[in-house]
Amino acid sequence: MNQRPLSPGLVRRWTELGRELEFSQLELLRKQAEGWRNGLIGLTALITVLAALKGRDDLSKLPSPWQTVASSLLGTAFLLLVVGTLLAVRASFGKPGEETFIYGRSLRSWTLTEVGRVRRAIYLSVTAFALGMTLVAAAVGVSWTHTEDPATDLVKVATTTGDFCGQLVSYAPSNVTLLPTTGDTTKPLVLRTADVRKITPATAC
Amino acid sequence: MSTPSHQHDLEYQQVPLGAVDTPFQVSADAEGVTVTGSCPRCHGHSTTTIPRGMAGTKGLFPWSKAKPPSEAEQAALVVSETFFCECGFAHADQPEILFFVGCGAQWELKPNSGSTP
Repeated sequence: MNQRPLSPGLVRRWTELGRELEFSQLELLRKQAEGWRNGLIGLTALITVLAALKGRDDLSKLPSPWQTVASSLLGTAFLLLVVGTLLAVRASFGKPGEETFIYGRSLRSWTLTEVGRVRRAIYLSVTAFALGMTLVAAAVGVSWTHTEDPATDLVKVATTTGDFCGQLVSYAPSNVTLLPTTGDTTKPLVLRTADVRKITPATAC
Repeated sequence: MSTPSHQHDLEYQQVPLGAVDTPFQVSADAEGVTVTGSCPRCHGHSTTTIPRGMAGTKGLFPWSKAKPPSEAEQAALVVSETFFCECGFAHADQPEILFFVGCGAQWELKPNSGSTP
């Protein structure tokens, strides 16, 4: 095992540190368990918040392509936030189950390796969090900008000349007037009542 | 060759002795590796245990049992570490707070100079 030579005093100090650690095992374990418990509680809260997030009303109200986009964004954000949280907890409280020889050079070597791992975990955690939050914001944006207002008085009208859909403006003995929701939405559509066979309520056109 | 007797009259002094080929025995269990031999300075019987443990924990799952290190791991560990006299004798001029009760010597072991019981 090739190792950088250490001064005798430094080796002695690391070995003394190992001796101290040997007598604080349980305390360290309890602190680690406490940290992981808090981390997992935070994660549960995060999942609850994300589960409660349903866009403006509900993602199911989004039109077809945007529903998939928003769901994918939220799903990816959820995964990134979970990973980021776990990485942050791992950086703060170590990896459960990990052992090393708590003595001199072994302890020093483990410590230096752990410093690198914690540094990486913090960086990845922050990156995952930032990306996750960006995706959540994007999903919220999609849901706000693409959720259609629930149209009122939407009806489907079956006539002898064809089927029509739109907002019911008036129903008179002579004709039925609809305001189409697609195409030219400002021009009312007037149908002869005599041609109407059926009028049914609709949730969308 | 007779074993030199423990030199109780040596004063405590932190002396790095470098790599020595003093005979020693290595034993291991799930809790760590124990190295036993005689101190190259005061010739007292010195036992040092290199424990396994936190940094992390003693295991995430209660059913996972720690295994003792293999002989190759033991050999690599023993030659990479520095040992301190732990003869347990109160040599003169010992500091009040002391992690290794002995004459103050510290040494490394040369490869292949030990034995595993």
